[in-house]
Amino acid sequence: MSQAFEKFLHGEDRLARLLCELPVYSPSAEFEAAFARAARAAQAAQGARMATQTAAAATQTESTTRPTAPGAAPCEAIASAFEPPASLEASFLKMAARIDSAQAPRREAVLTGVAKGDRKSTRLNSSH
Amino acid sequence: MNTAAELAALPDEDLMLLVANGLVEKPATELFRRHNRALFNFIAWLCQGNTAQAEDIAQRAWEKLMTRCADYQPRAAFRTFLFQIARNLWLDLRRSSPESRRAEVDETRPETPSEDLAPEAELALRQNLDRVHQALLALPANQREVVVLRFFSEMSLEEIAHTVGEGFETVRSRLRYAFTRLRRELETQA
Repeated sequence: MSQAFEKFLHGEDRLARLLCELPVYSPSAEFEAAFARAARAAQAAQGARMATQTAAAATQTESTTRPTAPGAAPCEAIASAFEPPASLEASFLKMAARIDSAQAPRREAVLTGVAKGDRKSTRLNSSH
Repeated sequence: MNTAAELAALPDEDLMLLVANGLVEKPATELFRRHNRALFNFIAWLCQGNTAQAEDIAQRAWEKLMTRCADYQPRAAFRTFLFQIARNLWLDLRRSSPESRRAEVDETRPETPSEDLAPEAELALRQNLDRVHQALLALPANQREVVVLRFFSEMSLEEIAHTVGEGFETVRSRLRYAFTRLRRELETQA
C-alpha cells in the first residue's frame, strides 16, 4: 500500500492540507429562519396530536368503569392514530341504502297498520 | 429540561430521543445549531455546489427528522442518522434526473502515487485554490462524497461506511481512487 495514500488518509499530506483550506458552503440566513418556522410548526402539530389522544383517552375513562392495565394505551387512543379509508364511508352508505330499500314493503305494512289502529306489537310480530 | 443551557449539555442522542418523544422544537433547534453547517456543506458538495438545491434537501432532511423520527435507534450515532437522511433525499433527486449515474463508475486504474505532492506544486495550488475546488467537483459522486465526509465532516472510515451503507474496504478503495485522480489532475495543472 502507498505510504503517500496512508498519509493522505490521516490528513498528513500536502493534498489533504489543500483540501482542508477550501471554503465551506454555507446556508443563507433565510434558511435558518425557515428551520425555526418548521420547528415551531412540528411542535404545534405534535401538541395537537397529543391533545387529541388525551381527549380520546379521557372520553374512554368517563364512558366505562372497566379497569385498564397500567401502562396500556386506551384502544380509542390507538385507533385515533389511523384514519379510516375514504372508501369505507361510501361502502357503508351503499349498504344502508340497499337494506333500507329491501325493508320498504314491510315498513309500509307496519305504517298502514298503525294508521288503522293496530297495536304496534301485533303488527311487528305478524310480519315474521 | 427546557432551558437552552440544559439542552446544550445533552448529547445528540438524548436530544433526538426528546424529539422522538414529542418535545420537538427546542431539542431540534439545538441539534440544528450543532450540525446544520456540516450537513449543508456535505449536501452542497454532493450537489456540485448548487446551494439552492442543497438548501431544499437540507430543509427536507430536517423536516423529516422532526416528523418521522420513529426510525431512530438510540444506539446509532445521531450524525450518521442525519447525514443518511439527507443523502437518501439527494439520491432520490439524482435518480429522477436524466444525468443520474453518469460518471458513477470509474473505469480508470491509474497507479497510486507513492510520494507526497511536490512543495512547488502545493505552493502553486495554494495560490489558486479554485483548481483544487474544481478537481474535487469533477470526481465521480461516490468518490467525492467519501472525500467530503473524511476531510470536511471529519468522519472516521467506519462512520463513512455506515453513512454511505458500504463496507469499510469499499470506502477505503473509493478514497484511494479519489486520491489518485486528484493527484493526477492537480499535478498536471500545477
